[in-house]
Amino acid sequence: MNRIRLTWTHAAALVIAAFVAAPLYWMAVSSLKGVDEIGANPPTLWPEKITFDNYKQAFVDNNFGTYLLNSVLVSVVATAIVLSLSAFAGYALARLPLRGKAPIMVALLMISLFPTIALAAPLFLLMRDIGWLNSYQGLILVYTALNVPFAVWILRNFFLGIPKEMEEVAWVDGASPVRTVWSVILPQARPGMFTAAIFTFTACWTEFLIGLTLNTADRFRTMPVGLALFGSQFTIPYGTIFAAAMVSVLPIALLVLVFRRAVVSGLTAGAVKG
Amino acid sequence: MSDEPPEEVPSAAGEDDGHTVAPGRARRPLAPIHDEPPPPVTSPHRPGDEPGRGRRHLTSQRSVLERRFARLGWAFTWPALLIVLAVTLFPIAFSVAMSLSNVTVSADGFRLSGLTSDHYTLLLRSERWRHALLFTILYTIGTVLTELILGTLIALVLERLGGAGRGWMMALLLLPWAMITVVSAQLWAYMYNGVYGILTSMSDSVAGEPVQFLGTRMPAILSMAVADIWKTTPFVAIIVLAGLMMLPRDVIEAAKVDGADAWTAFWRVRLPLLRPALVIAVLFRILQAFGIFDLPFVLTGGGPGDATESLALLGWQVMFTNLDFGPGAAVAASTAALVLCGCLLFMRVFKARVGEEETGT
Amino acid sequence: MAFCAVPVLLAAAACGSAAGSASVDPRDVGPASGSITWYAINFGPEGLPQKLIDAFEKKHPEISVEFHAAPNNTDTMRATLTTEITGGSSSIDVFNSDVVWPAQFGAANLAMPLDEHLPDDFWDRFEERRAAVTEYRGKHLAAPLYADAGFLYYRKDLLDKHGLEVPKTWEELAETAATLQDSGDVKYGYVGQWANYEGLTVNWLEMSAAAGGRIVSHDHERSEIDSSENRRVLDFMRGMMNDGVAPSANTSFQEPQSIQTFVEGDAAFHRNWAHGYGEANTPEISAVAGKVGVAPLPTFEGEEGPGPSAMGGWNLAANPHSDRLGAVLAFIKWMTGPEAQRMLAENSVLPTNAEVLKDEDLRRDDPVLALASDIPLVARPSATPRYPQVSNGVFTNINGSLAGSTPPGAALRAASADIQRALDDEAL
Repeated sequence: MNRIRLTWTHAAALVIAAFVAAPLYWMAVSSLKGVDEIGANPPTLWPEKITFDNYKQAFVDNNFGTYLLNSVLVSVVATAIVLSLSAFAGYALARLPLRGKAPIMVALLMISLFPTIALAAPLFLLMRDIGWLNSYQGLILVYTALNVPFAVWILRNFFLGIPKEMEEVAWVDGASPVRTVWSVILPQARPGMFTAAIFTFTACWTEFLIGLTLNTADRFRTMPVGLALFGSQFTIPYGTIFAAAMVSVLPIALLVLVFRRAVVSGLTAGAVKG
Repeated sequence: MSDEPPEEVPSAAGEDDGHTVAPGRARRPLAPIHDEPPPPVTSPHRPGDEPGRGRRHLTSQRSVLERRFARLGWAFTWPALLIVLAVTLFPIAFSVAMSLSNVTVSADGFRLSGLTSDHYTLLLRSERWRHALLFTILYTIGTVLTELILGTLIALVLERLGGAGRGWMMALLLLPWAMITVVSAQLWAYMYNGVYGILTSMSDSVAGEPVQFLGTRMPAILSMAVADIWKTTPFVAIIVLAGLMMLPRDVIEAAKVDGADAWTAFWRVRLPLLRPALVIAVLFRILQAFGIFDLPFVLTGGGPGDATESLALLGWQVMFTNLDFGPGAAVAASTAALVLCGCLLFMRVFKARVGEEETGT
Repeated sequence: MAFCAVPVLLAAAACGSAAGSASVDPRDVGPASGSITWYAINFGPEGLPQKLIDAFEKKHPEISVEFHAAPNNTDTMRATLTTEITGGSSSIDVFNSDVVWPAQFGAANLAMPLDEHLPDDFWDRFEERRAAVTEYRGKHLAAPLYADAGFLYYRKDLLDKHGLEVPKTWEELAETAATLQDSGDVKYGYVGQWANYEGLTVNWLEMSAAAGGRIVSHDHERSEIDSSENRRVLDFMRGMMNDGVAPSANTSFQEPQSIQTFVEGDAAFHRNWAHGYGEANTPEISAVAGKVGVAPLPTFEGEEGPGPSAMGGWNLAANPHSDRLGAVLAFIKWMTGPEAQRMLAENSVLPTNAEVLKDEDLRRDDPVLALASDIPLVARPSATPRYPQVSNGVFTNINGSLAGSTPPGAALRAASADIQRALDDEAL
């Protein structure tokens, strides 16, 4: 019985994996095709001639390496700030006797749903006034502000699910509030922290319009903006785009693989504590 | 444990339990002491507080403590709020102001004059806006519902999978989600391409005739939805999975002991407990789906005709293609207002509470 | 770091709406020196903009130019420009401006009128019709940098094999295409840009003008798209789709997709801009290199030929907030002068300078250039700042009809209503 179930689970997992991976496979394969083969009809399932020209095009002929580093820097720092701000705010909104929690939560929701297209131009004015156009800190600040609402919502939800006994013990033991949150609450909310971190990071990692608006100098451009510069008005250099995209998803894959244990054990720990 | 016996807890505690929704209830079987409403966090003690001095001191002691903890709450909350407000308050106010006044672009930049509702009147009278609104609402409902079902199924499979397999699957699932939206749109555009797209050529060999995915109305809408679902279902799956892992094991065990089959156990026991996680996932998917922009921008340009023109795409075109800043801001502001209503309605229906003030039930 | 920024931000928010530097006195342009930024989508063969800059800097050592690549999507580029310039930024000094932008940019103060700073005879260097489309309310808001036009590309080898002539009319084209398709030598007859975007307005305009139709009246007051001439064109286009001369995917084709179909050898005829010739004849990317000919666009039976080509290309415009206008003007003058324009022509980019366009040596080497100065041109109705909405009214309705969701009569009526609303300033 148990054995059969396991097999069904594996079969289902395989099907899911296939659906998720198929387009990714296509991207990977296409990034290795030459310009003539990428538009071949019918398409070839495996490159007839493997070439790394697209990668060379992205990293040598274009400045994609710089864009990638900028994106890593901005996304990592913004994620770190978002998490530290939201962890405390989320905890307070879940557990501490604050007046006006509902209005705060709704206000955060409102902010996170205001369309970015309408924010780009005024944000430009704002950043111009404080001289933070073409800088890392400008983009980091904006990304932080735009992603805190979601992180607060998600973390608050996780904190609500954590039993109160632990922190009460900590209070009784005389731990400072910051310490209590840091060493008692956060470890228990690890799945939530992980979820919030991944979503903040990917949101920063993939953001286009504000990155385009605030950082126009090549030195400060982020990756999604850099990708939009490939080719010219009447060409879509799919090969180059896919090559760059392959490299751009690698950090995420690595991140998850490296933290896989932490993530899984975090999830399990959360489950046991229940 | 808390030295205050539960029965002394004022009614606020009961409300607190209510607003924690499912996890609050989930704790009960685990902690039999708190079979009655669990002690409120609003009353933890520090050593200096000398707890249990006597009931007569309780009220004043409580209020002192409450105030201290309220202060702490603000200290924890204000950095986040301040940074959010500092960055977004002016842009949002500016947009709303633009949507309500005559905007001219002079050599000195934007000039706003007068108060007018003309831009909103223009929207309401515009067939294009109404069409975009209808499309966006239907598209949001359709994709979010599909993602919710698929995401929950995937999460259940992953939960069962366990071990190393789960780690790898999660890494794989995150890839579509972490892809730059413009790039994934390009990837799908490439696969849907009417001449050399792999999907077109596959449909040719299966059906004997190439399917034109983006050329006509319904196929274009569905193709866009598929691309969207591929990219965003992992988001739902991971949130639900994290929620699943946080569920107390003993509840499920208890259900099993009671003889419930897997389906009933899931439907009756786990799904209700999952509600907070699902609500969060759906809430934020609604926000994103309602604001969908990159995908139609790259994939269809809103076409064929106006079949896939979303509100965000319309707003962008009005603002940055037509350079009509007032009406463009009105599209954005009205979209925000509509989504807010949608979200509040959703939370009301699903009784997801955003703070203890709302827990009147 | 983020924390200390907060008070500053609040202060900035308070005065944010007053942002923007004071306007520049038009007469005081400053010296022709310093460093300027040129914002443009990459054009021509890889590295051409930088080659032009190098040549310019050699002639003007006191000026240095930095090239800022713009996103390769025209709409995204316009959005960035709009944000920068309405925000009063001077970080871009000079930018490439689409041929259909002058009225819109003029109305929104996004480009500086150039007349006061350039000698009157400056404009004589261009073909008159090219200089004319940079005007808005009697002022030139940009100077033509490079030209573009629609051409018909065809498979020389297939026409020769079957002893067929290059078609002079659209009817002949459809017939020839069907013959070639029936022979099994080629899959599709004709590919163009019929997707839901600006390019369809261009394709429509060319065919409509060939049949004697118009989109709007001469004074840009009334919509004239719902006419019998235009009905004939739309019926013809739908006929091409129904008969399989144009692939059904044509309604989702922009330039990259249509040219890909053509260079794969899957289409007999192809409408595209000037770059189509070089691309289709480059062996590395084209399966039909050496087999491609170029001709003016066809007309309709009973109409004068050849059919007119839509005017494309880009101008140079100056940011009104630039504080290096002297240098910008020197740059504009040089870029539109013979030396730079000759460099463009040698790199298969159509020049706007009349003298270079007529250069016999250049024309001999480049069949597209040889055609360019002789073909009739038609301008999109972009003399009104409402042009984007007019164009939207054209392409959404025509595309919807080509994709089969609306019958032709209803589509033209709907287009007409949309365009009229746009002209009356009542469209979203």
